[in-house]
Amino acid sequence: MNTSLNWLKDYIEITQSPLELEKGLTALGLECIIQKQKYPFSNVVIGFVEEKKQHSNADKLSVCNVNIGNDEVVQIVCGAPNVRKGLKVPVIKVGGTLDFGAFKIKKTKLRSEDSHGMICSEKELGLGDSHDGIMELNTELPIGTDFISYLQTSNDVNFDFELTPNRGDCFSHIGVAREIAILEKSQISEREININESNINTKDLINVTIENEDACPRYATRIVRNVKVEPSPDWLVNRIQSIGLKSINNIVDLANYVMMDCGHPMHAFDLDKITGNKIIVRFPKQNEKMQLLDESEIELKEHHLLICDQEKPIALAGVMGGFDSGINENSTDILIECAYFDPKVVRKSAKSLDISTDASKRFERDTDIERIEFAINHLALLIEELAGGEITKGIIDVGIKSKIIPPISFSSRKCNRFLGINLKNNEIEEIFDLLNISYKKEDDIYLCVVPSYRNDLEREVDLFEEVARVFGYDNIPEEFSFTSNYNTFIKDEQLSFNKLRDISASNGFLEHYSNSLISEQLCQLFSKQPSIQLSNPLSQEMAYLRNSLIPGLLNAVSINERRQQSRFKLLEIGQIHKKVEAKETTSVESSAFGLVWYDNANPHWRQIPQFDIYQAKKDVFIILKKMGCKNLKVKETEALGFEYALEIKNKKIRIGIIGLISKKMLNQFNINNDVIIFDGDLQKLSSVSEKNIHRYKAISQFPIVTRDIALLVNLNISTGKLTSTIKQFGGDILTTVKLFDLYEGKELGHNKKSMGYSLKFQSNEQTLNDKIIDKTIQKIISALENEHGAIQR
Amino acid sequence: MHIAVRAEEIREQFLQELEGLPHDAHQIKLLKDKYLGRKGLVADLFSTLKDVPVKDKPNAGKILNELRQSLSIKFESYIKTLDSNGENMNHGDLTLPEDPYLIGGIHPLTHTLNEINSIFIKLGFSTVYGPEVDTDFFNFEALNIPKHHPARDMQDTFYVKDGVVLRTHTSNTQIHTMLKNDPPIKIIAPGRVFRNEDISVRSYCLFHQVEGLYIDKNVSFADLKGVLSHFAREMFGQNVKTRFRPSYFPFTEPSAEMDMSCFFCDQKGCNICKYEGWLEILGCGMVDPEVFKSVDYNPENWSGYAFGMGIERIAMLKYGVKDIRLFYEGDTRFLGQFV
Ligand SMILES: [Zn+2]
Repeated sequence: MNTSLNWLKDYIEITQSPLELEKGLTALGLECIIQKQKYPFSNVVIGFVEEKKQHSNADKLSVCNVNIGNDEVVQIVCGAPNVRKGLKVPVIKVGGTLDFGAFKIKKTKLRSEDSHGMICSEKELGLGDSHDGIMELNTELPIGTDFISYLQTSNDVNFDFELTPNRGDCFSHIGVAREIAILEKSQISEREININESNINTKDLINVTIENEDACPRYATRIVRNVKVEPSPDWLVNRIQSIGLKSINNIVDLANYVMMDCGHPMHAFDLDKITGNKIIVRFPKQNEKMQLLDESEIELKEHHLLICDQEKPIALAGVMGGFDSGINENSTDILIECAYFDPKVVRKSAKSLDISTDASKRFERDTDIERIEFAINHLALLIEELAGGEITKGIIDVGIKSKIIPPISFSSRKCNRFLGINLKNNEIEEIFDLLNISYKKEDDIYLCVVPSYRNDLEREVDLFEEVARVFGYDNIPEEFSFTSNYNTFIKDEQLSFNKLRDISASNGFLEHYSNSLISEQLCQLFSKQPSIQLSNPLSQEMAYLRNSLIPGLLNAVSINERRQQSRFKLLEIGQIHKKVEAKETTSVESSAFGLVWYDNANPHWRQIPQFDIYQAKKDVFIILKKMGCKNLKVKETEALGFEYALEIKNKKIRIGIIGLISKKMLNQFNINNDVIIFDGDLQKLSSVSEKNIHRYKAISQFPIVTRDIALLVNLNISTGKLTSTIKQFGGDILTTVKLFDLYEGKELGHNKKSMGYSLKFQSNEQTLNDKIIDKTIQKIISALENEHGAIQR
Repeated sequence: MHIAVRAEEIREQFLQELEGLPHDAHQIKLLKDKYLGRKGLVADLFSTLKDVPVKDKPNAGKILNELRQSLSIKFESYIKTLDSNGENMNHGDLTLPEDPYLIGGIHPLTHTLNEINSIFIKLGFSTVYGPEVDTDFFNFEALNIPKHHPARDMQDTFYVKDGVVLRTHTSNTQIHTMLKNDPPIKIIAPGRVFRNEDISVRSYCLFHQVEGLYIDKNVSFADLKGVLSHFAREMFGQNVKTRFRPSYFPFTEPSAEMDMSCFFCDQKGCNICKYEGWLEILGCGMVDPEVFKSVDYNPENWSGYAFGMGIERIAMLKYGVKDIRLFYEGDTRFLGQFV
């Protein structure tokens, strides 16, 4: 909200500077900033002409000695006719600029006289068109004061407020003035309204009925007849423009003016357009429609509260007037509406139509039901003054006149304890006085009645806040203590996530955070899990909650590839969602982690191989083993969107899959090079890590015996299967199985490969002799032959 | 040829060559490759094993393993003598580049989050988590934000359907925790939250928060000021000053914004603090009695404070990041700066 300092001064004498007000109001919870005006000049100060003499070589020039502050007196040549001794003037110093820096002031000589700066006219400073000489400043401000401060004290200053939703009462100049009164430790002076009424009775001209008193507890109208709708006078145009509004005509401007002044929105109807001399406040009938002031046609819903005449809606209550019933140049008789609507009702109407008006904003935040009479009289009076006409006799005022607010009991002892302060009763009473809170003291308890405009104060704790606010948050001390034992200490279920992050980071992975919101199409690429759709997405690209981390990771790969990053590994840990209708939220959420390998680097002098599935597997094994997986097994598997993939299990639990993303999928992300991805289930991994209890295992004292075996095997037999047979038949004494040679060649025969295994044997109980080893090797070899047709070479 | 004979030949040949070996790293490597390499003479001999009659195989295998072992031992001890004699070996150009490597690292937001968390964990706060998709009750109603209340405008909300939202703050976790546990409560709740806001340099459709909640007997606003000022000093340095301004959150009363003295300019004024000398850091307040009512705590017996901060905001201040979108893009040149 935009407020004008001059306007505020209608209500209160202000001693504080704009800067102090800005600070003080912000500290009271009314966050505001002074609207910064951009001046096109720099380095201009208030100067004082100490001496003026005629230039010896030029008739029209004077040579002046000008004091520019700090006892510095400079000589300036000036051509203005009005320059004279004893004048305060704006002086731009040497080094200053005009016209937004386009023109720089230098030391010059004018007809052989030195000139150090320039005395300026309004036009030169970009403040107006007047070029009839230099500006004459009538000010008490000391010589040398920055000229901008002068402008701020003599001109108006605007404050922009960012009001919190609870402070509807500050949505006006009177509201801000009340807060300034707290800072000034004084009270505002209310406007005096004295109305002359004609002898025509308002009640003979209009009849008002409220059908739903919950939605509209109070409805008041006044009528002003025989007015002339015309452009507003200067003072009103200035006021309206001073807070950034556009002047329309005297009636509309006045309605806006009074709203901005006292915070109560009002509406002006053309009395002639109200059929049947009736105003009815009601909810719509079936299939009722109306056209709003902005010409939009709306279909009315049952919660839209309406202002109607005998036949039709003429306004959407508290939001906007109807198209037909408004004021135009030909209107003569005006009906002013000033009502109190239920904030929820107005908000529902405005929200459902996606409309926000100055009126709806104020009604939504609640208005002052007791301000109605004042507001309507103020507006009627001003209309009469500016547009002529006569105010008819009496206000039609239907409904309750005020709300019954039970007094709030307030204990200063509790307040002090709650805030951690130690205010005496008289200090608290002083605060109540500044807030216009009236009170009765009964024993230790104050019974407080808050002013009707403070709709936000209902409970004792609300008053605690008021006390804190006026006392000053910064004056409350800082305590640093905790009292109880905490029986609620809760185990951090994501503690292992950080371990995973650290291990991955140590292995060269950079952590990535990707957007949880992706498109429907991306949700279908890598997961068959149904995904959750948003009903009000920002765009179709972000209409679903991710059901897999892979799309987000591939987006990152795509960005990096496009930006010519050739070799990287990424990690992401995050929540994914599966749609389950049976759940109240429709979401089953789980933690996932993904790894990416991307390598398109140039060859290295030592011919280091590029990332491939085997290197990727190594990384995954390091990470998973460090996370506590002791029994990792891999098996080829089918996976959506992968060219090929392996599933990785620890014991029976599937931790994730790893594989090469298919070309088709890469095309969807405009990625040109191979991408390997590991897609893991973090909940499963955590469950494994947790179960893992470390038990020390004795280290064998006996020597290790190494034996190599060479096998000839059919190509289609997987190493995984061979290895597990070897392990199975090697028994406890087989400690390591290593494939050291793999060879395929024509000389081996069709479809054959040769595999060299190095086996290490060791026992915890004895030195293994050849006999035992030979026997074991024999067992292994015959098993390999029986199960896989492998032949020892 | 009998394998044993060939094995003896190789051994002899190796010893001879080892004798006359120049002290040159490259030559030494060549020798090793020739005999012990993957395609070396010993490996060659292993490959003839397949032609040995089955009954002789074990013995032959044993001979070969012995051969390999003895050659390795000889070779290693030769190298050791070289080293212990301190002889200068020509070991080639050691300044050739090392093998390529990648330096990994955790995300700047994780860094920031961990820093925040650890400060509160040291004070005895427990970390708890809540769902990203939640009901209107947990995200709004229980936090004293009824339907048709202007406070709903403070947070533009994504809806899944009527009554189900993407959480707009991690305060939903407070409600879950309080419904499950009796007071006292002392928790922090980090997590991802969503706002239906256009994506720009300053805002994204999601961000991350840490919220805190402390409930006990006789907790005061002064306690709140104390703990959060402590936090600011731990996080940003002992010289940091804080100030509290009244604000409004439906779930706290009184509510406050905490500002911190600008550590970029020492409050002299700079463009980061918009020449005000203060930086907005977090929102906080005393838990509103309405919130206590919705979780069945008696507000007469318990009081407490809650606070919440945006991790992105703090990370942006800390690292001088000007564009929030960088956090979610995954550019490795960005991520690589926080290792
Ligand atoms: Zn600064």
